[in-house]
Amino acid sequence: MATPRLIVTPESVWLQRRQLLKLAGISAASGVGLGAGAVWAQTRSPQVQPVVPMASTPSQVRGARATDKVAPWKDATTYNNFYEFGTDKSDPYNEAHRLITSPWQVRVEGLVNKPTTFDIDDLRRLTPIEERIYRLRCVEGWSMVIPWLGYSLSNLIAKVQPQGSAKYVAFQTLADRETMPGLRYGGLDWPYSEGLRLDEAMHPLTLLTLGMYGKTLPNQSGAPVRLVVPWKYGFKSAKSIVTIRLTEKQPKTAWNEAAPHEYGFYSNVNPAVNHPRWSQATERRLGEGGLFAKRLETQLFNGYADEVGQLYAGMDLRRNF
Amino acid sequence: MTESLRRRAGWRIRFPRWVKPTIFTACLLPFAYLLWAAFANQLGANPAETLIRSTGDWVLRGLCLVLLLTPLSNWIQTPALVSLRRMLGLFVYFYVTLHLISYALFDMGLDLVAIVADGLMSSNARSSRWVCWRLCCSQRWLSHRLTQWFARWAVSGGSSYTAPSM
Repeated sequence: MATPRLIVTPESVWLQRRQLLKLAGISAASGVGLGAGAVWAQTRSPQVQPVVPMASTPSQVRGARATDKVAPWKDATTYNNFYEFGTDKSDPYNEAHRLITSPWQVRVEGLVNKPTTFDIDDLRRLTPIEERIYRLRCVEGWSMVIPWLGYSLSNLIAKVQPQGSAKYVAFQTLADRETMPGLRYGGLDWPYSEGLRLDEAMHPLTLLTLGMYGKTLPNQSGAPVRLVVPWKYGFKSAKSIVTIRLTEKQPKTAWNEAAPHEYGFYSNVNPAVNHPRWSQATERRLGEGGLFAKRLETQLFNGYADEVGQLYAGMDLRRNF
Repeated sequence: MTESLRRRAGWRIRFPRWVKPTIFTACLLPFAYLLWAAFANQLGANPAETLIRSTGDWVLRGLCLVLLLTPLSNWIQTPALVSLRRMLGLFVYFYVTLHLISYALFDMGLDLVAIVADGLMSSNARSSRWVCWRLCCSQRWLSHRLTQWFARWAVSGGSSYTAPSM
């Protein structure tokens, strides 16, 4: 008796059955692996967060004390973009305990009179720590309000005495294959690099960040030292920085290299300049309202236009996105 | 023919009665979990995104499974497998509907202008053929052109919420 065939399978498909078999095997094996991994992640001891309390005073810098509702610690530490640990929002929380943050040194070099290597403890003592409440707007269309601890990056740059020819500041972050499983992800050129114009880096709102929520930084948030530039999309705020270099030429930046038509060097928050694949007019504010909360209107320079607008006077923000 | 041989042959042509209800229930489990998680506030920092992502993921998994059924039933010579295709296909449709409702209601707040604008922008996006290739393994298996097109569209719609690089 002939088996009824609802659809005649093309010969090419029929011939691929061996490949199919192999792939089915691989899929099944990886499925089991993923399942086991998920169980392991949930059952092992709670997230190692070697965070300790950090003393601070409320910042006096204009614009540094946003009155928006601060996101819960849990949201700020479980929903992160830190591709060195994987591209899922939960990967940094699950993987970043591997990161070794002590000893840690930051090299500040380039067009400066006093190139210096700072130990992380030197950085914590350099200037009194301030608490600043900033809105953080991700290029993906969500935002959170975070109480950061740190001081203006200008304090550090002043210490190394920039030369007159310095026009830009480049940041390079840690890329350690031993501890960062996400480095296998090929979309970005590791180590992650970011950059600012020198006047942007010297702006008082640009924060050299050593802590958050009254404690030192948790690993997934860029421990032990990161940048926070509140009027730019979040990826400009490089995490786990190891080198700061003053340059004359505009430095290469990781996302701009990866997709130049999508991520510009400036990447200022701007509701009028859309990402090629989605609108930037609105954002989802995380940590308040839950499932039924409405999206908020995104503000030019993330609401810091009064403080930073003059940095871009006369510039075409569409072209310099 | 011995009884056991007959039983084995019968299994190949038609599944026992309990198979379909079991698979039906299994297909409802992701929905049940999401429903529970939504009410128990277990969807994470970005609940709307979690709903949209996981319903979208289940659509892609279901789509791959449905498209695999026919070649698989030929290969292991078990025609009964084909009898699951319609039910699984309808479940894909069910999760597509949930996916679109989650997007329109929870992400866009039923703002039609924003939805249309967003749709136009993502259809303008670069080809996401390679994303589909990666997720669906090899398009050469996907014998139905419409389904291929749909899979591609589904992935490109979802990609707005994936890594910025994609």
